[in-house]
Formats: sequence, C-alpha cells, structure tokens
Amino acid sequence: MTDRMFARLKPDELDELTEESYRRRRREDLARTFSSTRNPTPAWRAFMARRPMFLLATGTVAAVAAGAVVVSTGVLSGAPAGRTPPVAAESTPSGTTGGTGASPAATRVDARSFLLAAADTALREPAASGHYWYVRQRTTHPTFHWPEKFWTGVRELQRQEQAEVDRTGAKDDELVAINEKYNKKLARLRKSIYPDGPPYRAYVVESEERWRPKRAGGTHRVKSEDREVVFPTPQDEATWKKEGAPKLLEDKPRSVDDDLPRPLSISNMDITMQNVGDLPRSKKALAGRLRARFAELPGPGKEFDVYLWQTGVDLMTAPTTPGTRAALFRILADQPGITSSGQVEDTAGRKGVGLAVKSGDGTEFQLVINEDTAELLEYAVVEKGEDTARVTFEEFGWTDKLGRRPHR
Amino acid sequence: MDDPEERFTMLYDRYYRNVLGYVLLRVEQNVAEDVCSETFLVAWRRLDDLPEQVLPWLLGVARNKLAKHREVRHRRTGLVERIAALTSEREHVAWDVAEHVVDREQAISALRALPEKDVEAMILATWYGLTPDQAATVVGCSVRAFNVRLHRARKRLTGRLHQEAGAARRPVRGTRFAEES
Repeated sequence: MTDRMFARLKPDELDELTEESYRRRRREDLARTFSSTRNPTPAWRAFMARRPMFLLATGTVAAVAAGAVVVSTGVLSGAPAGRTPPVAAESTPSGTTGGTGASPAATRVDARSFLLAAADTALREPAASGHYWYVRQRTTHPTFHWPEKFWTGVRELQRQEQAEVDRTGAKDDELVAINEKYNKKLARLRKSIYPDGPPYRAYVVESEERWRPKRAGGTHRVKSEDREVVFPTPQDEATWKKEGAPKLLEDKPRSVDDDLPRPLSISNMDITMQNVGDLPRSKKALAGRLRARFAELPGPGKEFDVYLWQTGVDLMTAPTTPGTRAALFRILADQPGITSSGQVEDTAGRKGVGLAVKSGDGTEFQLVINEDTAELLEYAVVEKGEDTARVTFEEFGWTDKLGRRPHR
Repeated sequence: MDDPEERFTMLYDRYYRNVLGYVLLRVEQNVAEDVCSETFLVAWRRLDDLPEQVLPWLLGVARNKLAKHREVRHRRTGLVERIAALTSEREHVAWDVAEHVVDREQAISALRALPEKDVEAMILATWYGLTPDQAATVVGCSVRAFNVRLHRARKRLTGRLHQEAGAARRPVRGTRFAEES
C-alpha cells in the first residue's frame, strides 16, 4: 500500500519536463556525442561484490501500522444488527450429509480436481461489459488503540535512531545493527505498556462499494458504509470500556469520487481496466506472463505461490474474460502448494470450496470459491491462526451508471 | 546490433528521460540537463563495457556527477522540497491510504520526517522499479543496507501517515468531477 501511494507522489511535472527536454536536446546531444571520440577503456565493473542479503521481515501482506495488533483466536459472538459475525479463524467447515461428507483435512488431490472443474465452469459464464465495474465487499480487520504515550515513545525512538545514524555516519553494517536495536526497543515499548499483550480484541467491519470506470479518465467512486466495531466477547468490550473506550473508528468520508486510475493488481501494475479484457486466455500464455512479471518483482523473500494467490484474487474480482479466468484456474491447479479444505461456508453463510496456500513464514492465504459459478466468495490472510484480513465479496458485475448496482 | 551509434541512440531514447527525472530531483533544469548529457557521454565512451542493467549504472554515474557538482554542494533545497516544488496545485487531490483519506500535502509532510536517504530508497524502488540489487549500486551501498533503508522508509511512512490522517480531521479536498450521466 505504501509503495503504491509513494509511486503516485511522483509529480506529473517531472514527466513533462523530461519529455520536453528530451525533444529539445536529442538531435544536438546525439550529434555532439558522435563527433567525439570513444576511448576504449578497460572493462569496468559497475556493481558491488555480492554480499549475503539481510532478510527483513517479509511476508506481511496487510500493511500493519505500528499500532495495529493481531489478536488472539476466537469466534466473534453477538451478531451485529442484520449481519453474520465474521469468524476470527478459518471458515467453518459445513456439516456432512448422508454420512460421509468432505473430509476436513486439507487435500492436494481435491484442490487440483476442483480447480480444473472450476476452469470449465468459468468458461461457461457469459462474457459481459459495461461502463463501470462494480464490486461490493465486506471487510474485517483487527483494530486497536494504542495510548498517546505509545506514540510519544515511538516518535522518541525514531528521533534517537536518527540521531544515532547521523552520529555514526550511517555506514552499512552499523545501519543494520542500529535498525535491529531499535526494532527491539519498539517491541520492549509495546511490552512496557501492555506486558501481557493488548488487553482487548476488536475488529472493524465495514462494507465498501466501488465503481471502476472502464474509460480512462472516467470517474471512480468508493463508498463506505455500515462501519462498525465488533468485539469477540463481552469481556473484550468491557475491557475496552475500562481502558476509556478509546475511539477505534477513524473518521472518513462516506463517498469519494475522483478520476485517479487505480491498479487492479498491486503486484501487476501493468494491468488496467482498459487492458484487463485482453489478458491471455490460454494457460501457457497467461502463465508465461505471470512468471515474467513475478521475475521482475523485487526480492528477497518473494514466493511464486503467494504472488499467484494475490494475483489470482485480483484477477478473479476484476472484469477478466471467462477465458482468462479459466486459464487462471488451470494455472492454480498446477501449483503443488495449494490445498483444499473441502466444503466450507464463508462469513455470509454461503457455501463454497475452501482453498489455501501457506507462505514460508507460516502465513496462510485462503480462498472460498462458489462451486456453481466459480466466482470468488471470500479471501483471507491468517497469521498464527488469526485473521489479519478477511474480505467477503457480496456482489460484482458491470453497470452502466455510476452509483447503480448491476442487475443480477 | 553492431553499429555503436545505433546502440547508443537506443540507449539515449530509452533512458534519457529517466536519468533526467532523477537529476531534476536534485538540481534545477539547466544544470540537470548538463549533468544528464555528461552522463550519456560517459556511457558513449564506455559503450562496450556497459552492464546488462543499464539504468542503475546510468543513475549511479549521474549521482556521482551530482555529488561533485558545485551547484549541488551549495544547494539548500532537500529532496522532498524538490518534490513538493514540482507538484502542481492540480495534483493536490485526495486519495486513499489504507482506510484513511490523506491528501498529498499530508503525504509530503510525512515524507519530510524521513531521512533523505530513505526517501531516495523509496524513489528508486517505486518510481524507477529498481530491485534492491540495482538500487544499491546506484547509491553505492550494500544491498543489505539498502534494504534496511527501504524497509524503514515504508514502516515510517505508514506509521506517520496513520498519525497524520488520524490526528487531523480534514475534509476531502480537491477538484470535484462531474458525475457521469
């Protein structure tokens, strides 16, 4: 999230200036260059000798700010008005009928056969189009309020770290050591305020509707509604009250319109609303393209399984053609790391097939797919048995009017 | 492709703007163009020895030239100030950061809290799409140190923006666009 935002900070004027300069100087620069002599010089190594790479904490999918904390397991009880409460850990396996239901144990064979079947199902869906691609989703993520003294402490640590970096001249090895030292201090700061960890658990649950224009430069709208804080147990709520009932919901506007293009897939910034319909429809071509894109991503610690899972979620909720979705399922079917947990229910109580893949650090990435339509119902990121993100897709499709939902 | 002039022209066409953009973040246009042209002159002289990843090499050469340039040494304006200066009024529109709406001013203000080298790390990674390997060669540090800078920049930026967005309840600013009919 931060990288994407930072990339958008690049001023437009920069591109304008460089373009204008390029056009103005090109002929003269080239002429001058070619009239000068080229002195052959000995081969010059432009890159540093490789040193062992320091693997920083990778694999964190949700950009969690210093304050947000992953809380303990437990099913959220007490349904908020009209909504099924989110499940804090995995989606519940649905009951068996007729004696032998789907085994809850994750199986590799089931995943592959399901995905191949899903590919055929996806192919049967009719292709459609429209002016806006609409997605409505309900998201759940943990939230927590750190007291002001925590933020004061963080700022002080940052100041100290920077002062130390300035003092030592920020040489490479020292920089790494300093960074490690201050990470430890940050952990101690957290522990000093809450020695047993955060005293209460809370989740923000909200619905988001999004209209993405097909036309470049069209209006993009995001609407947020039904935001609420949910506590897993009455104890959590009571503790929160005892802590002074701090504000857990940040204020934000209900609806935002703008004409800024947004990527459909953060790992694939080259895919846009304008070209997503042109993605390859054959497994080989699509796989080749995804592999190439993966190769370009910065390492270290990147894993193809995880990239594919994230890209898959993005493509399943974008207006890809049935052919592309089918190809995607076939690619997923080939991945050895993807397992199935059989029949499950998503947070909204809809039945689907659960699929999962684990990253190197044990984080689990889950999907729930509708068996009849091969549509994505829900995805989740689960770290140490707890959700750091869970998104349920309630509806998506094409619509021709901004603010209108698709006819189903 | 055997013809060196053809090879060089391709290089120039492909990377001139990237290199100039990078240099413009440090110095004004006139000086920037000179530094950029000098960089490509070096590339011409070393045409047969260029590494496969040319852009990081070019940026590294440009960076070295900047460091020696008289103008830069006396320049007070930091990297973030240049970004702010180059950002036109019409770009100050609101956009999302995670769940918060932050406008560009808040984002640039958050950038000011970062050490310049960390900002540069973010620029090389996100505006130029360089891998840590490549970026490290540009700034002339180890890959390990570069990764630390980048990781720190990301963490701080997220934390800082969290504060900025939470602390200031600002109305959504920016141009309103006519609704599609």
